[in-house]
Amino acid sequence: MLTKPNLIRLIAFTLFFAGALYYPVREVVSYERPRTPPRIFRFQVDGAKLNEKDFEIRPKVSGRWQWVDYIFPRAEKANKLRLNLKPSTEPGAPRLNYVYYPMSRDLAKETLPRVKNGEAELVIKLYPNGRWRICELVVDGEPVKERKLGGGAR
Amino acid sequence: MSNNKEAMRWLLSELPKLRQEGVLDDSASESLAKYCHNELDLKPPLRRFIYTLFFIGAGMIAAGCVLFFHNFWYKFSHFQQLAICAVPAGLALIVGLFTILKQKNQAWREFSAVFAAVALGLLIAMPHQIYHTIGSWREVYAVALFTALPFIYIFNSIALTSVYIFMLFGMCHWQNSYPLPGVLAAIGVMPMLHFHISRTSPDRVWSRYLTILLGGFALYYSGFNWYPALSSLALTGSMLYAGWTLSERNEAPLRNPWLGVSFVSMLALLAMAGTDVRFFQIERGVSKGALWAYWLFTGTVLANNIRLFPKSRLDAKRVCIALAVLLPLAHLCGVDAPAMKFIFNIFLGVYGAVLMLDGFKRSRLLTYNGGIAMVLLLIVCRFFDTELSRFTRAIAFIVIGAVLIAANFIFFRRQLKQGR
Repeated sequence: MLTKPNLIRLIAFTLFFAGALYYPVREVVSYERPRTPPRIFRFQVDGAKLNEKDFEIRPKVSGRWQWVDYIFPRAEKANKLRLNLKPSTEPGAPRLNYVYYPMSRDLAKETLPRVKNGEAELVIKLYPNGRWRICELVVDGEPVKERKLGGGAR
Repeated sequence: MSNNKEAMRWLLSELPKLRQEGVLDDSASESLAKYCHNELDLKPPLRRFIYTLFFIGAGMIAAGCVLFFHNFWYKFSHFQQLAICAVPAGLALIVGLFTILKQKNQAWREFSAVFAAVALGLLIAMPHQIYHTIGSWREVYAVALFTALPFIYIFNSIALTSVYIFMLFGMCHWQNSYPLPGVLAAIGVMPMLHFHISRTSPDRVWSRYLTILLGGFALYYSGFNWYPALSSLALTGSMLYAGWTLSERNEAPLRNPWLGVSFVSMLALLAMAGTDVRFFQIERGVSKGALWAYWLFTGTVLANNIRLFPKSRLDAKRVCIALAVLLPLAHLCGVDAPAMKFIFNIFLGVYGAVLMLDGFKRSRLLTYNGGIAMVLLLIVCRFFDTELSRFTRAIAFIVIGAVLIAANFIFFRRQLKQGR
């Protein structure tokens, strides 16, 4: 027979445990429900459109960001990439954040609040030694003028 | 009881000799050793070795599981990944219910609390990892932390309280942009610490150590906003007050960490206040949330103190603590920083003298030495920044040194007379 304190414990434990499941369940339901393309990613290489259809960003595959794997091999001889970022504005769609993957986290924190229409243009300079650097970033028509915009190795 | 244990230890040490001399045969010696070990609650070496192997084995299995899932993680579908993460949560639910329904002992409760908090934290964090929701990591961390809080109280778990307080420091990363939840999380665990400290709980000494960590977190997290002099002295003063009170109740130094830590902090703060005018710098345009959160925390600490030590004697030593907390307010009322520096120099000297006198009157060596430490600190600090000639400094040092030796001599003679 349960004592009164243990009965209270039992009720509290069951309630809190069930309550704690709310957050992960909400997240999973939010991301798993069917929707229109989660985000659209149009890009041009040296001014010419590279692909015919919009490119859909997906999460990492085997630890690599898929769009990096997709774009850089196709732009091997290019000097510059002009990427138009237009994420889905549908409620519940994954956030704009990882479109800004090449940028430093601090810069993303600075930039994200400025996005009003959800559109950004990113110009990436490609170097022959295999490195790349963001040289321009325009968010909703306004250039972002931070000194360090991010970069890395291809 | 202790005599009995000593006798058991002596008997254990004598057993090999008794066996050698043929007083006891092997079986009698073994059963006697077993009896003594059980009485002393000591683990025989073999059992310890088996325990050690068990823990190493369990650790290796856990590490192997982590590596196994890490290797195959991206080959699983989202739902498989989620199902794997839900397994520990399911087990934690079963263990928790078993502990409560079978009314198991405290060890089971501690385990259930930590297991439930860790398993749910994992389940909360994993959707974030699976769906790559970068940017909301702080939200996930705060949710996981707040989820652990009820289990502390449900299972009355000091182990989870300790883990929780250490995990609070993970919130420091967002101290400027996300101030309120961190301090609210700190305030949330205070009733648990208060409960253990105020009762004859076996965990009350450990709770005192945890309180120091919690205070350090609050100070680092949001206490240095706006006016660091006021916030740091308020928290340190409050802890020093509690430390002195425990010391007067003859609590051993290791069981009263408040006194040592807060006294050293108070020395450091007063030395800074008397040396550098930047100590009194007031930062403009700080987050109001962080400010309110910190003072809410300090207010709760003060309320806890009043609740814990309602009938403490108001003596000069405690008035000095109150002064240390209130003096920085003078800067807010228009006293400029150089004048504040001067006031704190005077205060440091007066506080040292008050402690020495108090220690002398009540024949308490600890208080007396505390006073000496303050006066010496003042002398050392001023030695480096006053513009007196070397000759004047030399004379001043000799005079002060002679006074200290004479005071010590009188103090020890008095102690000897009182037969201590």
